[in-house]
Amino acid sequence: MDLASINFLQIFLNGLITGSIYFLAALGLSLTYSLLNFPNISHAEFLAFGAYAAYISLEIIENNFFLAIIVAFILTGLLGILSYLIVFKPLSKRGVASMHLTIASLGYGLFLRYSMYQIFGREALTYKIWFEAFNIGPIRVTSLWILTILISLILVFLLHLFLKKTLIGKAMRALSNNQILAMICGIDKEKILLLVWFIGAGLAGIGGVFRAGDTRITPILGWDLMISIFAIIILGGIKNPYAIIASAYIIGLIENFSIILLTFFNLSTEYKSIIAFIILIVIILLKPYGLFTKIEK
Amino acid sequence: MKEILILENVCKSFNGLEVVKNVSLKVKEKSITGLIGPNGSGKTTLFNLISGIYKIDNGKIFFNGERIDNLEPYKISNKGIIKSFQIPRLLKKLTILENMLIASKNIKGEEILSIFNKNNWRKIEEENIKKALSILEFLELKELRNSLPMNISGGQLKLLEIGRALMCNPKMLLLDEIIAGINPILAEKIFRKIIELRDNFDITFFIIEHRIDFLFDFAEYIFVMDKGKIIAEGSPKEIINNEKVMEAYIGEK
Amino acid sequence: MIAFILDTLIWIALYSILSLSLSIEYGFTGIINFGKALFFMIGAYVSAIVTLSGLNYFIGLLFAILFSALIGLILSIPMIKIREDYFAIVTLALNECFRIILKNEYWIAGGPIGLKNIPSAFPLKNLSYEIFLLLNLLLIIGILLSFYSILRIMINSPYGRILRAIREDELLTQTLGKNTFKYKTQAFAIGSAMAGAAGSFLSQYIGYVSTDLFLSTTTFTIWIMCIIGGPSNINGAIIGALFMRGIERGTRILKDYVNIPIDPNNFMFIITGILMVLFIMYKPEGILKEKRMRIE
Repeated sequence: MDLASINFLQIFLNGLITGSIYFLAALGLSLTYSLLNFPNISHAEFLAFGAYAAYISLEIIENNFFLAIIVAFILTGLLGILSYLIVFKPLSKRGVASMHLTIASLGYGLFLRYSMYQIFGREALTYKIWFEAFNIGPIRVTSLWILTILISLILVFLLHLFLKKTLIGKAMRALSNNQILAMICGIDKEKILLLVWFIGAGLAGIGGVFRAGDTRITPILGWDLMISIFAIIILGGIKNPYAIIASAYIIGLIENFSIILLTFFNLSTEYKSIIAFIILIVIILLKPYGLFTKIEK
Repeated sequence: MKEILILENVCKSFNGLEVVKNVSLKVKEKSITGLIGPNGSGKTTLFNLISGIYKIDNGKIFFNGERIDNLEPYKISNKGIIKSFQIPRLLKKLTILENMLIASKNIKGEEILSIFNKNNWRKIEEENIKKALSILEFLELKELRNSLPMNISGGQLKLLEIGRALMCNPKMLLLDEIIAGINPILAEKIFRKIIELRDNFDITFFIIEHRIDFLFDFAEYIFVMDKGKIIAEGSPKEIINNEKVMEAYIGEK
Repeated sequence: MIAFILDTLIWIALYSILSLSLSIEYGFTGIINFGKALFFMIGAYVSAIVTLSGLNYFIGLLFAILFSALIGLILSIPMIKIREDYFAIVTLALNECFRIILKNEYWIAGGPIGLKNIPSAFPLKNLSYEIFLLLNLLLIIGILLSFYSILRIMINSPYGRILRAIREDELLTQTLGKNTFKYKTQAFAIGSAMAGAAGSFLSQYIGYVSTDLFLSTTTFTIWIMCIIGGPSNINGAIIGALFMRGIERGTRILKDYVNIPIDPNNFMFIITGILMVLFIMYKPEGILKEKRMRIE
């Protein structure tokens, strides 16, 4: 294999795109994980749901991709809130152990996924929209990719403002850090939770749209990415949104660069999930609080 | 009388807060030794460090001459140190009797390969059941043997903590506020039993207690902790007359 | 008609073994294993490879059990000390990873096509279909009864009490002198061995294996059976298996006789997904509760 023939810049771009999608998908999961203390396995379905929501939007109002993204965000966000109110809030109010919430999320996720199979069928769909492709120097870019990275960066920036400057954002960080203390200080946990579920699911929906635009729309869109998403959350240490963002891009880049190795050894590109899994295992065994958390023993 | 438990310069911090500061103490074998101090002085944490539930940051802990400070809790427990919990911790879906039995040993009954021949373990199991029932009877809990923990009162749960500790055949028992909320007659009965166990079975007792009046009647030696340090030690008489102890407590009361 | 009954009983017995294998891990020891299908798959593939190379089926069964137990042991030893939610995630991910490897590596076991023409445990010529089914039924019931008896003895011994204590409060059990790590790994190995045995039977009953049979939906099916039947009761596994088979058949019958425009496969998961949530919310102990020890 000739090193010179590898387009590192292209792979780097791919890494950024993957990282952006991962960040959109992982952030919501990490927020609900840290606030409700359980990994929500049904979170993967939000990605697929968002992708389908955008599809419907594009069917009704053609060619308006921006609208589709907004529709995906809002509808998936609402699904997130519904999921919380109907499933997870009643369960946690009953005082069930966090492991029971996880088991329930497994079942709820399958309910969502097969509902989507029922409504949209088993055939994969594609967006009826054309993404312009062109060359910038040595790399090939599509308008979808530019949108993905742009919107993700804008969202990162907005998130940063939200967390650091607004009252609710600060409340969210406080709650994530120390729930009891935060509630004593009068922070309304319920409101924050609703917001977290809305934004978290909504972002995942957007991530699903970008992913589907690149591949196809299927109900297992999110499920395919779950290993990587969990690796990101554990690498980033669950509690810290900034760490999640960094981890998402790190893993996105690692996965895409590892494709070089995989093709060298003639292994399928599906193996990049295994690379994410290895990272997951290594972090759990060596640094279970994530790379970015300082722990005083 | 030799020292069964020795702590040397034991330190523990949580998130930067020093909870146990340089504690050194020696507990004599077969003694009834007390540990008192205002709330938050680090007494329960010290017991958690000895039993291995927390790991110490610095220092050494010796039991019967062996170093135990970096061992897993089950290894420390098998060396003969058993701790009762200040807030009763019971197995919710097991009956009261089973909660007692879990503390007992049945070597053949607990090994995966030997359980299939019931003759290996049936006899010891029956003996353990007998012992558990007699302890339950002593604690006036025998009628509750088939109940679940959620169906019995808080005071009874506390008694169960004691009962379970007694099932263990320990060399040393760390008891954490065992008579809180228990009527004085039963409390006295329990302390007399403690003396009986010490005399007949050579068990050393290291007891955290807020009911200083009780402790002073039964304990031979007392350690006083305040803000993570040992501020005084001696016989009950010496402690009563110790000014530093008064200061520490008046600040609290 | 007889064939239908025999086949149904076979599937119920097979499901019971799978449900029991999760029971010992989750219902009695409190381990959350989201990778059950993995060991089911390992058992099936190992048994298939052994029998395809000409050896007797029962050697294949033995290898399947030992290999699954061994993998279970190896995987659980480092994992059992980590938090239970991470363990759940890891088992979920492991399931997927093994599937990806088996699917992509043709040299191991046929890649996505899998292995075909796996010889039956009863390679006799001129067997009527009913006799074939009957023999298989006897085999699977034999395997089920063996595991059932083993589990029964385990649960009703001091060993079983320790498992249940670990489920309730692992730290407390440690402070009472029990090496909880050892018990958890053993329970996990036994659960894995049982799933492996089930896989071995499957491979010779249907005659082929492929990774598509062992998706995470399979793991979910085992979970829903276990939870509904009653995870902490060994008879619960059978109730759960009965129920699951009932739903599988029921959704198909609904499609044939009542004109509901829902694909039965989708319908099944939609219903079981909802049931999972409902049971966790209102009846987490399942239909058959844990048996309590009583002493007079």
